[in-house]
Amino acid sequence: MRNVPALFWREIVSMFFTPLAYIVLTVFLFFSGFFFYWVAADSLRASFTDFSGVLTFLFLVAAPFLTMRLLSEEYRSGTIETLMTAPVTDTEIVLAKFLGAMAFFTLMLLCTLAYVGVLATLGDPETGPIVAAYVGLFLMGAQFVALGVFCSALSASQIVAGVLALVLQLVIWVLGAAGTVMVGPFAPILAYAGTLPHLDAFANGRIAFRDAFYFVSLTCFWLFLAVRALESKRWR
Amino acid sequence: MVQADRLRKRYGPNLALDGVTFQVERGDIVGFLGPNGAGKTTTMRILAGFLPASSGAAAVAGYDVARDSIEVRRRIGYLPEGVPLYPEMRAEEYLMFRARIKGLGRRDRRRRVSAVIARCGLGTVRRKTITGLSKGYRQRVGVADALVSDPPVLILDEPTIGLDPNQIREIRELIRELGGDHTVILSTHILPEVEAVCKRVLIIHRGRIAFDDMLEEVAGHGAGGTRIVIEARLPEGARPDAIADVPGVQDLSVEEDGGVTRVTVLVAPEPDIRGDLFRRAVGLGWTILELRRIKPSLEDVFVRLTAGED
Repeated sequence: MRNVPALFWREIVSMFFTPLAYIVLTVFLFFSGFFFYWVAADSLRASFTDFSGVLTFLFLVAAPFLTMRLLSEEYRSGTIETLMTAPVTDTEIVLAKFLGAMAFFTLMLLCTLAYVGVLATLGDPETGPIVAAYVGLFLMGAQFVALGVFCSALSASQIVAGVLALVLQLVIWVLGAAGTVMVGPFAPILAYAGTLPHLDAFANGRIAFRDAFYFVSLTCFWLFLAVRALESKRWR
Repeated sequence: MVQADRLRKRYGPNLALDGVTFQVERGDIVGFLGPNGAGKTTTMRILAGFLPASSGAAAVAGYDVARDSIEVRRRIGYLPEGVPLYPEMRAEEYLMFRARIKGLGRRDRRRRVSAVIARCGLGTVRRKTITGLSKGYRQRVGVADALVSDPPVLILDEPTIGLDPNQIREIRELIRELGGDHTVILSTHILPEVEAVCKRVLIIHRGRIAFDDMLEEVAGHGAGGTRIVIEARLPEGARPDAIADVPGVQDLSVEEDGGVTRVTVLVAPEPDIRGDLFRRAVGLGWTILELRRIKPSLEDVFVRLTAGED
């Protein structure tokens, strides 16, 4: 893990020197601002619960844009060859990519604290549920990003990587929704596998081990698959 | 320093390498030649630890490329074909990054990066973004990256492709200087490059080593052996094939060009019969304008070994 900081810094440099990240950030802030106004004005109460649902959806769409180029671009430009012939392990490469994208995601998340500030001036929102919601959004984001890293490790095409990440994410999303409306022995399994029920728990102000474990384990799972996918590039 | 033992590599149904075996000693500069698709890049990628071989083994500095990949990669400076670089980084920043992931400490990093920047002539572009660099400068950044950790083994895949003649000379000069304390394997299509830089030649054809010898020995493998060309004015009525009775002459062909007769004599590489031919021709009353020996070139050998079958 010695080389992760160096690789991480390179990710940050390339992230902040390419326009895509700024475009994603701008579009994200525009829509989140718009929805914040809408939700707040509509409900006329200083609540963060509804708004965190909006943020979830925006992150769902934004995450593939942040992650799609991570490894795909290295494959396409051939720089993967210089990277994989340097004395760094595949795990270090994947971890650095993940942390690089997480840094940008965290920045996006921090930007939304402005809305919390607005809520605080309008009313007196409870701190606890907001902290819980942010913990949930962060963990969920980690899972989105890890999935994106995995998809990016599969293809030299950014488009393929991005679309695949979005589709997989939506499938997992729908699983949870299906689990909550279905009956029968598989319903609880589906409900656990889906994203939404766990996120709702956080949004409602509960930080439960069970929900945190869900996101953390899924994040590790995607990163593990990403390392395998990267390794398999050597075998082709 | 570098050993390849019966390397085979299969891409689906295609056999790219079919039992490649060779050894490179410390300090050698080896030219790795072959037609496109012969397996040069595949072999280099296996040695650099980017691709695993389907079977067979390779070792660099005593470390197996499959088992101790990281140890091998620590000891190799590899310039891949096409010189992939991160376009958004500045030249110096890129080299600092590469030096860091190659395990150089903070102080070594500064020292080595400055050294390779000076050595590769990158001083004027060190703060420029790689996107804005010309092909020649990018190539030099790639070479600088290969050199930055001062590795004992350098593997350079077509290091001079796309450069202008002056840049080619500079890179060749650099590679020549590296020999001795570095082991260098370089692939190229430019045969005079090998003749200018390398001590040893490996020719790979259809996934097999077709030629492996020192550059001086190339003559012995020539197509049609050594030739001696005599240009002379002959006396009226003299027969040009009269010199065929000199011992050692294997074959002879004659051309006429405006009163000058050019006789091309095919001989064995040894012994040198130029003196005998000269005396015989003078004895016949020829006025010799030119007499020269043509040894078979690397190009002759290359063409003989690799052409005509595809």
